[in-house]
Amino acid sequence: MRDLAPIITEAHDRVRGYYGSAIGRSKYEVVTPALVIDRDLLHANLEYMESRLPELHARLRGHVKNHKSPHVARMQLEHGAFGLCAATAWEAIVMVRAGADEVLIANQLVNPVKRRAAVLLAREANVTVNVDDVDDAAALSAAAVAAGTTLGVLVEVDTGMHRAGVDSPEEALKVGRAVQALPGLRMDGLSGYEGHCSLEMDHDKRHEKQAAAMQYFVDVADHLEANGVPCPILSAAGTATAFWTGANPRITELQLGSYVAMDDYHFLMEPRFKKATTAVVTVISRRRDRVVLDLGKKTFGSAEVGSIAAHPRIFGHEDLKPYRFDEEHATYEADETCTLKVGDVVDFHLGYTPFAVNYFDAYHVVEDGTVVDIWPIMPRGPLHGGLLQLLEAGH
Amino acid sequence: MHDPAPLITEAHDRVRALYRPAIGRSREELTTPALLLDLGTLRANLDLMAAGMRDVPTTLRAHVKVHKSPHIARMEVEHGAIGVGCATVWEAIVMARAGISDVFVINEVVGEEKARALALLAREADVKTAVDDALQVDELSSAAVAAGSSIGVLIDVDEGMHRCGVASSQEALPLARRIADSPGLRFMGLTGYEGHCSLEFDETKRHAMAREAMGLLTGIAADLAAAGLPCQIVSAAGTGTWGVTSRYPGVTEIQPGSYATMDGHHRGLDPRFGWAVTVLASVISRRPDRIVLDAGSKTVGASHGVIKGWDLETYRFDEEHSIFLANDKTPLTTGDKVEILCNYTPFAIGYFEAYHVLEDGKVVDIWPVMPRGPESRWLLDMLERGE
Repeated sequence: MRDLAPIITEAHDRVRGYYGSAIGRSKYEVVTPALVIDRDLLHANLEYMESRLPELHARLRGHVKNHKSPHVARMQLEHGAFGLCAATAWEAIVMVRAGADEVLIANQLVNPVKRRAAVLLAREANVTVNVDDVDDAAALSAAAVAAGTTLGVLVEVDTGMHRAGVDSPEEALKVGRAVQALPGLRMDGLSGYEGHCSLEMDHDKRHEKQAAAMQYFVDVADHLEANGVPCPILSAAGTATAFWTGANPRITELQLGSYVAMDDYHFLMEPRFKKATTAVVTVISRRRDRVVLDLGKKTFGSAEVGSIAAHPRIFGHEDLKPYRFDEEHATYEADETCTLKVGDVVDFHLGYTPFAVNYFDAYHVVEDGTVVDIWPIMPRGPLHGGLLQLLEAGH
Repeated sequence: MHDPAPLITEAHDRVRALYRPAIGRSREELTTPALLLDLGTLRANLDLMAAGMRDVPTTLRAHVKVHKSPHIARMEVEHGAIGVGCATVWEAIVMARAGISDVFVINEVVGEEKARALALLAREADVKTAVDDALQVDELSSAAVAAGSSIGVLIDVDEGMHRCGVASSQEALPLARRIADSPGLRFMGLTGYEGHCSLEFDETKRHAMAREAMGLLTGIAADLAAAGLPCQIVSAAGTGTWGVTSRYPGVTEIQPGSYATMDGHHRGLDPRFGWAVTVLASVISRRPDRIVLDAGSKTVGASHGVIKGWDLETYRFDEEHSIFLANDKTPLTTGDKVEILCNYTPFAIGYFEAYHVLEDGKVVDIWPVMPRGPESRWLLDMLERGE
């Protein structure tokens, strides 16, 4: 693995400059709300995943959208991941600069600026993208030719999630053949994240849906291969389905991400991974019948994933019923038996951490309750933050 | 109003440098997702509010948590706002450095470092905040004494929203005395946001609820005055109730924020204000029965949104995608750009670092979103260094 590039080390220095006074102190002494990542739990999750890899047919491509941390991404690569997976072109740029040689943007790029970013990035790493449209493939090809690079392409198959992706073997073949014929593109195979299974909380039903989705996925691959379009890569899986999908002898790589930093939502489905990411918050108001915290939906984001509750709540007070989540406040019903009072600093379950991570600029890294480092969150938010200019300028 | 400090001008320069290629372009040419601010609509909203405030006995304090923009805040002051309301001490620091001298953190500030941030800021601006507990009062007093400054303090009253705030004169009175007796603090009055009314879409019911809430708030103010603790400020209202609350006898100022930028929720409450802020997105996948956009919950935020000009039902919001049902009669194709009308804009703005500012359909400037995100301790360090 290459060393961290200056954009990462400079960001690290910047957030250490911002929040470094917390280093060496108890996590309960930091200014709240703060995003906390527990290094021991992080290692436990990474080691558990690594220990299971030998029994799986598929390799691990660690997704980074959940944590958006170059530091965590490197730890994934040190613990069995052969490459990384990103949701946006901007995440891919950051992760290559974090030292990754292999990155899949498991998404449609479509926008010309994003295509340009991907083909420029392909000068320094093996970059693969998802495609479900012939015109998008043609535009990617033109961009790659202009940049003098080769882009790996996976045809995205809708395996039941009903988001992007072709929805028949015939359409997959059409797009696959188009990719095969285009200069600057390398037809690598298929991508088929069975994300709908991660919205099914019932274990057995989830397993049934996973099996059906992967059967369909393999059938699509068979159709392409029988018609002269080899699919050396079949990429799928999330944290809630990884061990089932990884055991399928046809699946070549797994693109799960939540297994590292985890959250309450995924913990409901896969409790073998521990909740490494939490927040530290302060009680700012205590009324007779309720308690109010200094974080709300502008900190933890949505309290639901799709229509499923993700349960943001207070450690040690998990039974308190949410009264309402506002922008900057979370209010819980609490009678006089609840010991919480104004000024108390407590740990908080964030619910679905990716929403929270995207609001913050840094993690407080904690070991045994003490802050040991500050890690930047990169890239932050939906904009490109100048990452394309950086590639164009050649640094 | 002072000139913006380097903190603001440097942030403006930084985002202009990052997104400069967009300037002069139309929305169809922008990289998506992008946060759009239509200057014409924003000005119309500010004018409408200024006109509405002309003949009422209250003044306007513009809440900035909605837009987190030093530029919009300055425009609000130019359109008659006496100052700003903030949700966090970090917003207050940014707005004071934007040149605004009257900043009110309409929230409970708990924690020594946040109290110190307010006390240091009070050296350079008229800083006020809200309390509902003796601990907050004592922390603020110690911080103000240590900084050699003075903080204005208002008691937060729960008018029915059931968040923070005292609910009776019995609770308010000892707290007011404690503030008045605390060195470094000035007892300024009461603040009460009738936010529960903004969850009621029936206008008649909402107005009745607002009047009831103002009855409680001004009743407590009268009790405090009778006890020798007059309230110089009685502050309340949001965009859903400003029409009623701005005329209510005994209220001195209103604190709405959404009127400037607007969103689906507030348009349902007061459709006179226009959508000034939208999220530009691209169709990145077109299936026979749906379209997929490159803006999801990590862009639009918790309350999602709808597509402007298209009557399409939402299928699902994922992190980086929103999916809408569409049939073969919907002429949207991969690569098309659309605008998302957010149901609640603050969640989207909280994720972005900059606005693409449009006038007559062209990008004319890039404005920073400040402060970004929940933690901004470095702003305290800046004050500590005397910068």
